[in-house]
Amino acid sequence: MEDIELLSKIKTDDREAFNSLFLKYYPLLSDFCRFLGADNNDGEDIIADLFLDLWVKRERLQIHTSIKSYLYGAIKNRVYTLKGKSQKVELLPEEYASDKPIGDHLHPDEILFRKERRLMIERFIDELPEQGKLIFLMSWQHQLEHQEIAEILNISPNTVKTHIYRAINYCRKRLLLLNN
Amino acid sequence: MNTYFKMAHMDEHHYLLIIGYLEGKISEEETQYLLQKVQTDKEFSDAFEDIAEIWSARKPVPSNTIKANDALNRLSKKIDQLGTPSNQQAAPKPNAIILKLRPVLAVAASVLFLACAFWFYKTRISNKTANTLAFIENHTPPGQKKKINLPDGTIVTLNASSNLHIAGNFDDEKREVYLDGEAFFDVKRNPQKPFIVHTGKVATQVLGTHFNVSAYVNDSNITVSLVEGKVQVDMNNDLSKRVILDPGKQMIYSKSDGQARVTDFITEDITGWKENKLVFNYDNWTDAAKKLSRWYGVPVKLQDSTLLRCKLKGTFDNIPLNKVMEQIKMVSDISWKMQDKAMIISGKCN
Repeated sequence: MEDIELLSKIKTDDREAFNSLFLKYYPLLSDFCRFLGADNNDGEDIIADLFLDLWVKRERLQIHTSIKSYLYGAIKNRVYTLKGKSQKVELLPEEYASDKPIGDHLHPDEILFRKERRLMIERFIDELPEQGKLIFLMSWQHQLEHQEIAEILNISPNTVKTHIYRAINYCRKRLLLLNN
Repeated sequence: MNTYFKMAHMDEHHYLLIIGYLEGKISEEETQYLLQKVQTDKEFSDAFEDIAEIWSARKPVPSNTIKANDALNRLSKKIDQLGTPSNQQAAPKPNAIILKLRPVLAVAASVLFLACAFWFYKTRISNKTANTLAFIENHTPPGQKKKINLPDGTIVTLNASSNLHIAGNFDDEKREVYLDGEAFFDVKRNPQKPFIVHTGKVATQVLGTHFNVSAYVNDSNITVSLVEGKVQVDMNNDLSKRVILDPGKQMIYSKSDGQARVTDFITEDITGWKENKLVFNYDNWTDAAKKLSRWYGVPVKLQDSTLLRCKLKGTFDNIPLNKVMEQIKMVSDISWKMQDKAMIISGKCN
């Protein structure tokens, strides 16, 4: 069932529709909490609280974006509030890759098995600065549209694109160095 | 350092176009532009390769249904404790019962659905058989392969433990076949009559080309790998999900989450089986065990669940099962034994 149908059923007190919405988004939101740096327990509480609120307020709920963007956005706000963090998004510096000494923290075995490039790619993504990593993971791992990411994080779609571009550029540079 | 400067020229727009292509989100026109550019612009094609590699390293979002259901149960209790605000019905009990019944209902529903699908499939097939006697079914037992010449000149090589149904009206308007298992298709070109391979929810359509389809019913993925030409892959009849593959690319469709991804592949890894090479291409042990079982016609059981997390890479040149196992044992922490005509593998990843 489409989200929009689920929502209109939830507004008419349909618990089954509510349960479906929960089960549909739980794995994604739980993964998203992890991206945001919340530990498992916090993440689970935050998701449960959000859905509890959603049920309580179901009749007067106004969602101006999609439900997906709404849920992600609400999770982000709650995690940030919990962590007492500012919500400013910082851009990955253009020359991020060259700032870092490369190769020093590679275990000899990893260098030996560097053909395990897949693992290396995961590692490179992990090295990205927090916001760049978050946006890249939202696009790459969760397959969210640029527009959706922009809505969730309250930034412009162009900023989203630039982040993704720079994140990929960083991974490419790291991959290139792996070959040399 | 030179490559650095070259790379810097690639702009954001082109990066996003490449990603759009990998996600199957760009228009036909943009695809044409991109394919043209890959062929003529070295810098662009380097970027394409890198981005495709980065993109294909994606792992699916973990979908822990048990955890999700637990969390839902806890949440439901909280909601039930809220009492009955405004004009809510008084008894929350029915909800709780429905909730408990849900998994059972879901299983019942899916069994019913499967039964219906099977019945529908059966009647459809048998109707066709009744109409045209030309209906052909091909089957290979474990450990055997078979070459099949279709009436249109197409040659199909069928891997072990596979079934190929050829539609009764094959070659009328379309050339349709139904595959359970793995097969390599060398399709005779005929633009007037598209050739379609049906494998569960995935349909692969071509005009004339060489490609491999792996779609065993009990495997977790369906994989379509293109060696030459062009193929179009549709999932669940959803045109927005259509994937058009270029040579050297394969589409891996995950039956569990219905997601498809496109990756590069090495031809020998995919078509090795035709030359009697048993190839493991980062297969997880679950799939590897099924492969061994199909190849050697011996049931294979995994004793340790820790094995499920390991991946296996290697090629074996048509050697007996015990030799294969000994070679795997040399490089990993496993042991194996034969018991009641079945092979039991135990051990862990290393």
